Amino acid sequence: MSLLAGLGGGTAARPKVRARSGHHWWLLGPGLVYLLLFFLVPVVLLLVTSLKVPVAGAEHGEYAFAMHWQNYGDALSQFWRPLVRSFGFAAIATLFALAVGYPMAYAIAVRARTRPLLQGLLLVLVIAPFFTSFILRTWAWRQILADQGPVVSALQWWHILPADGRLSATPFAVVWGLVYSFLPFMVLPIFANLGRLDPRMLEAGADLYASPFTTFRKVTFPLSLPGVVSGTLLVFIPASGDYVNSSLLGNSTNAQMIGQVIDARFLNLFYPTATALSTILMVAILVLVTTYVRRSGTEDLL
Amino acid sequence: MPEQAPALELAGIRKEFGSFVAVEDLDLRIEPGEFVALLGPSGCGKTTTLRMVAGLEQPTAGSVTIGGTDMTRVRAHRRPVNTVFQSYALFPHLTVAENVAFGLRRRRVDGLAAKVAEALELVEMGHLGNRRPSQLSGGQAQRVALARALVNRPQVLLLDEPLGALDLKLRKQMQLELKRIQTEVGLTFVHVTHDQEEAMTMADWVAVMNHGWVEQIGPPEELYSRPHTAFVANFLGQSNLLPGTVTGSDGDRIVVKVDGTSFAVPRDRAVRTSGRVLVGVRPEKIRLLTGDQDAPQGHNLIGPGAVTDVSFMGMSTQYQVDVAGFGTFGVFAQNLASEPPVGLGARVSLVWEVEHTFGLDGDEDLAEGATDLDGES
Repeated sequence: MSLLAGLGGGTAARPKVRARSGHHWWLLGPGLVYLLLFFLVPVVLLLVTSLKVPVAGAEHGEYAFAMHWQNYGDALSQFWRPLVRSFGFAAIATLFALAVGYPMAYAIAVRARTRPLLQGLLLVLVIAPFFTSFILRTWAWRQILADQGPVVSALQWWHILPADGRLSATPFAVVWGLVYSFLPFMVLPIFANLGRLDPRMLEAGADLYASPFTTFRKVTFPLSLPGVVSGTLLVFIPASGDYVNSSLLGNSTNAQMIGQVIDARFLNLFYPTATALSTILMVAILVLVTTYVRRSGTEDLL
Repeated sequence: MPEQAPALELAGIRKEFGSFVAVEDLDLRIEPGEFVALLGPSGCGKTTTLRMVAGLEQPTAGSVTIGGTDMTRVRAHRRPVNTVFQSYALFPHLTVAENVAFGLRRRRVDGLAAKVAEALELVEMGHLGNRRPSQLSGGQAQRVALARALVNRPQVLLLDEPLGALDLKLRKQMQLELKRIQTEVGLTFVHVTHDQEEAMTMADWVAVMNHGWVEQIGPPEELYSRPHTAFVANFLGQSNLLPGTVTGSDGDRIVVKVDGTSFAVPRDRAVRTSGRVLVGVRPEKIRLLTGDQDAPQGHNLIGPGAVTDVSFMGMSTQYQVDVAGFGTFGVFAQNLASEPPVGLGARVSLVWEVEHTFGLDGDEDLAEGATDLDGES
């Protein structure tokens, strides 16, 4: 104990010395400059642009600053459907990714624990899709889910899908694409967390009359919550703003996502609407994520 | 009242890990309410034995019977036993009280809160029920682990070196407390330890294990005064062992000749009464005689030899005495006012009562189990 206390005292005294020298600012420097240039400046520009109005008489695409808050109201009233749909799709995709990803992570981290070679191989398989382009892979899904494609034909043959039913250009295809795209972001944090799972916890569960399933429910899963929270955030946040899956696998009536709308507004030079929507998306995600992390109550495990 | 079934009975238990035999054909019978210690060095199979009782390991052969029911093939969560793990294995996401309630909840026991409170009171942790395990000291975590197992009133409570991580003073205190709690609740305890002092302090019965075998089982006093093997003689305390040959008998004693010197060994304290034997005596049973003292009657005598080391240890002094032809003897002498101190280099003879002599199998390695250098742990 006294040895630990001595060590603690030593490490506590050191930062003071460092703080006086001021060298740590140099180490932080590159990061701070980066954040300033590529985060703070764009956010300010975003906010400024979102409050602009078209210049009277000028060409389409020219705007002047006017503190025009109505841009937000207009953008919301016009595009609230894709906005809500985005969060809906992202939430469903997150749940599916969790349902698929948790067993994968568990298998790799716990079941393959004693076989490092198999564990490494399985991890590579999880990460392997990153070796090719995200866009290309989404295109591939477009082919796979196409009306004359193998999946639709098979499902029709089994009468799971009606003869005129289709998968491409449906909300199903978009959510499917989102799950596929972001699955590794679910698997990896949960894997990292379960890898640290103390097998003695499972023995203690069994020793205290908990069946393997109850031990999972009452011990393993609660202990892996930090990994689950990280994984769900890493899937939900990019999925909410994603426009590639909805563009390639969706349609413009019932599968359009907010990212797609923003993308289109930008391309068509409607900058104030696009930036207002971007700001709304950013704030909404921030609020949702903060509430989620608070309510999941995993702070003391993180 | 009909005869009660033993709390725990192991019959021909064997455990192999690949080609390594961790436990070899072990038999053990523990009556209800007993406190039994499995004592041995690391790797002797004591923890594996405990884990087979808990159901955390499957025996390769043999049977585990708990409270009269064969539980060999019963899975861990269905066995009426609970374990206090070496690392405590408290659930970090649950509070102290929730940890203690875990087993009761699984069995849907009534009066949960009262039972949890009572168990925490018993280990003097009642005031810390809302803490998280990460906020506890080692000693506190140990108490919670004990309460978590005790509260279920298991037929057998298993303790896997639960005091190993505590410092010496706390360990001594917990030894006494564990014994008190066991007496109070009347449960059957099986305690695994490598600390011979801990085993002797707490247990009614001590089973000394080595290389997967039970070398000897008995009450601590009996194991200490009448060891059956060189391993027990050396692992449990210290012993002076001399290899010799039985040359005759004298009433209820056998006479053993060691390098020309005769020693008497009580027949009932000898494992073998013919052929090659080891003559043994505990260091504290030996008295040092200086030149002007006569050897008393009914004693074994050896020497003279030279004192080569004197270590003052407070209450006692530890001497090393070199006797030509016999090697080095360890002697513990109480620091009584009447005993004159013996200095380094002094010529002394060693005497001890015949009744304190024991005889072992002469084919044994007399250094077996003696690797434990500090004697304390």
